[in-house]
Amino acid sequence: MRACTIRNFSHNLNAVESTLALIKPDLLADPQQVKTVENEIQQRFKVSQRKQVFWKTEEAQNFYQEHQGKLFFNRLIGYMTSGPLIALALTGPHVISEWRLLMGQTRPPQMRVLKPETLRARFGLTDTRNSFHGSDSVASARRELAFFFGPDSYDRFLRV
Amino acid sequence: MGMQAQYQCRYHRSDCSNPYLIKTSALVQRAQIVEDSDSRTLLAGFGLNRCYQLGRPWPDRSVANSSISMTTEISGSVIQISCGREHSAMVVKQRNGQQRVFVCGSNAFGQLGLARGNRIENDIMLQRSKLRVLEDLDQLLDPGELPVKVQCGLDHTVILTSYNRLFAMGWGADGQLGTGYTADSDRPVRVSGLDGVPIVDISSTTDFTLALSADNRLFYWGNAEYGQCMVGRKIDKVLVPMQVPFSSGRIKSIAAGGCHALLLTEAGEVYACGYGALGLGPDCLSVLEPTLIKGLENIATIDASTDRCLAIDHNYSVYSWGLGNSLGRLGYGISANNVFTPELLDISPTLVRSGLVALGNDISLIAISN
Repeated sequence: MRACTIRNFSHNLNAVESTLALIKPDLLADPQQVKTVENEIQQRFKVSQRKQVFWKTEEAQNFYQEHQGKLFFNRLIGYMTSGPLIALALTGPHVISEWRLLMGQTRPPQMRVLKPETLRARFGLTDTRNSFHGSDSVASARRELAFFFGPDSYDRFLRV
Repeated sequence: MGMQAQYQCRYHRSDCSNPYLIKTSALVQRAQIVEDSDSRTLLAGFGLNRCYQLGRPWPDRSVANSSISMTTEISGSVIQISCGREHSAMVVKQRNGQQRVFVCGSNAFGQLGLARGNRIENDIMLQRSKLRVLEDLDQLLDPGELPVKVQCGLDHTVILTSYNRLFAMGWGADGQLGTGYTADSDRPVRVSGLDGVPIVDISSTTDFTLALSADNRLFYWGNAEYGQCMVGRKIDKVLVPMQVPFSSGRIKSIAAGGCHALLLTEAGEVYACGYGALGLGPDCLSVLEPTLIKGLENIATIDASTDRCLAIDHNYSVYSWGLGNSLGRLGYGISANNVFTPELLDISPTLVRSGLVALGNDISLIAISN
């Protein structure tokens, strides 16, 4: 009985996921900072695939379609199409929440006060220029990874 | 980061014999210094140069993206200079006596006032320019009207003229251009709503602008999500200049940060508003109206960058405070993350030349007398 409980528990602990991490255009202005960040990411996570892209407006609008109509939508699109960005597929146990923990929440100025060790506190500039993105659920990760790395890429990363 | 590196972040002497006027940039660890002599004007810059924001391409392609130090020769003398996230703008008095705005760096949002390249190519390298005259401004100016001050936000530019008029260009998503719209503009456009208001000073570093008139009225436009607009509430975006009431004395100078604004009164008092390490202590991170910073008296100069503040008093003592000091950006030689109350910097007042101070996001400069 006890062994069974432990086995179930540890199974959940090791739930392997994949997530999409974006390094946004503001950070790419400084290749040195990108190198620092990518080194840190590689030390903590398995990077299944990496891609640098320069979005057209329609691509950014498609990626952020869930935010359409929100107050910040246009400035988000303008910012995300202002320069190249890097998309990373990260794979590992609980990587969706682990990446979001390392990244920090949306607003860099607040992160500098509340969570100074997070990436957004260290590298983010303003609420819009917040340097990073991370999928917020398995469903989002599936959709967002497919956007960059092709259909079924989520399952492909789990298999490898 | 080890102690040695932290200590090195404290002060560095820059190799520049005669810094005429200086201003540092945000984010990209960049600074620019103007050296002026009879024969030529040299613009000395160090930091990133991806978009030629230091003035010109670096000849060695292998280091084009890295931090470099170099000079650019300018025909004419530089009156004033300002650095944005990836662009620079300056007012230059040319040999023929004409005064013009020069720009360089990224034009991705139109912040140089140049027609944007073909976006179908989607190449950052098409959205940049080495130092050049902002020719489109000339057509907008009246006969005899000259640009006198330029301010770079992170991704926009605001220009003040001798006829007290304002023009803006670049990113407009938060109302940065003061036109009533959120569209970007890749040519200078007139800031609206200030007809007949004699604007004499402007300040912008991030996503909003402060403007002060000769009759001491204060105006605000751009992002105001943190209540840094000083009217008692948070506003998503202020699309046209909004007058801000201020009743605690006559305003001497203004300093726009990112989530915060600073005001200096004729009495030498400093008022802060918005969010962050405002100088009001660790328990007061957010205020919606200008609030007196206790412990600062007799102040002569203020400056702000996206997350940080600086004040110099009439005895040339320098005070610094703000968020994100992990790399020693605030100048104490320590890596305390945030500094919530103004701290006196350990730099001899006899060295400090008041007024020649430039607070950036990653780097700050103070001109000292030899």
